[in-house]
Amino acid sequence: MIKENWISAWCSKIGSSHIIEGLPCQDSSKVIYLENTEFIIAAISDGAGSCENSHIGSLFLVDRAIEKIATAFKLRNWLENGDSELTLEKWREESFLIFKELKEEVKLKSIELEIDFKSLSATLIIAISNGKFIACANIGDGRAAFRNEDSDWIPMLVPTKGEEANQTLFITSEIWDENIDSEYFGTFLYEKQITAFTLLSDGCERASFEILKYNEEEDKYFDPNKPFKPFFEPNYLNLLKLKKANYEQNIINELWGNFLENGNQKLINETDDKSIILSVYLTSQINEAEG
Amino acid sequence: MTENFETFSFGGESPENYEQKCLCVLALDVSGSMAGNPIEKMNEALKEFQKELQNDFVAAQRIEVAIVTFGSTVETIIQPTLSADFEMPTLKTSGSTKLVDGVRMAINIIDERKIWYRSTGQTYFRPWIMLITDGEPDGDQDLVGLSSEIRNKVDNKAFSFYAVGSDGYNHSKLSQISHPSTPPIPLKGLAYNELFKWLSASISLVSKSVEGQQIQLPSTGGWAQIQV
Repeated sequence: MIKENWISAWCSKIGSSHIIEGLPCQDSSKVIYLENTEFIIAAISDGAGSCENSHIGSLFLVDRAIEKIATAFKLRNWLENGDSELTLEKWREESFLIFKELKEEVKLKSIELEIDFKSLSATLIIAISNGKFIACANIGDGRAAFRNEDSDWIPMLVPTKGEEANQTLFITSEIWDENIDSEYFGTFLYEKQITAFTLLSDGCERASFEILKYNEEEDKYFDPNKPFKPFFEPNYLNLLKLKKANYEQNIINELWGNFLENGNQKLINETDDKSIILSVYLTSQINEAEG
Repeated sequence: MTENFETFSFGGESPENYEQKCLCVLALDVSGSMAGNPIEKMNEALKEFQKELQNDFVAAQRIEVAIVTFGSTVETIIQPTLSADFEMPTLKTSGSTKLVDGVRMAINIIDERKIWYRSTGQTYFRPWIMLITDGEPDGDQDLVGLSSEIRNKVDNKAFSFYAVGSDGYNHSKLSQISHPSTPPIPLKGLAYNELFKWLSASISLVSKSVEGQQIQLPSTGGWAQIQV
């Protein structure tokens, strides 16, 4: 069902390296619209490449993360008053607690399935919005951004890494939940109108974000963490067209999956699993869509 | 839904990002015994190797090649460079076999390149060293010291080390240098072209791998001689 004020596309596609190795797609992605509200909750999880059950871990995490955030917002009455009552401090406290509980649930899941806890390792990015604000939280890598009323795409998270270079953090990692101020746990809150947002796994970051650029003056490479507007804007507009044409969600996701696999040379060349969620909030901007 | 799906196809341009680098250092024997057909075949194969890398869109942006030659002297003839950015030189043979010095030079190139990667904020894949020889190190070369250094550095994932011996090489000494996980492989005749095709395919796989991925390298059947 497409909620009246939102239209979304989401999909997780297996990478060519996983096909060669006979591995499953270890990414998971999910979007739900909370009934009788304007709220959307989205989650993306990227299972650790070296962990044999991480596809189970990522699927479990997106399902449970969405359920737990929905419950938390209901209990705190934030569904009615979210935009006025939610602060970054409150969101960090709540999401930190949810992530910690999710870690414990993954432990229980590993016991239930009689598999190693770490074999379920996966990252997690979640976002919740009613169009009037957006909140995001993450453990590990991937990217997220929102589109403001000026049509600018703004990053929402910094990929969190471990202490060693290139060490990926997962919900199962030891260090991120030592205290609420942990630099390994990311949170973000924007308290104004948004027009769209995106969450994506690291398999799509080279195709959609500026992530490694060269500063000639300083002879340094750096990560601008900048959403690439020519990537997102045409897809934003296409979603508006699809909304107008009243396409069903499964068709939209199928078209989106085709794009992730064959949309351009960067996406074709990518060997990792690929997931992107793109959600558009519909106010009057549906008129922006051509045709 | 009166319009067809193509009307509603998603599409978007991607940015130009610098790519994570994968360094492959070739340590090549150009001693006198390589003169004639062997060096000619190797030169042909090196040119094909460069073409193969250039023809692979991703590999061309990620794989840096460095070449060290060793005979009576050791020379870095190509510093770490993307395959499109250098002209493959034609190797010439001369003198004895300063193999240990040649491999040490390859290790130094990796150490220095890693420092540069880190200092400029770049991430990188584990580098490779590919040693190719048809002989054995000169008598004054520190085989034991090199062997120990390679074992330590391969164990610590500083680089991967592969050694190939062509007709006339000393298997015992090359085994001593090599890490136990990758013993030396004898080359079938002068199958340098097949060897370098394997190398470009293998290093391309590495350059496209993701963290934690176990890579199955292509078969060496086209160029490796089966030992009996």
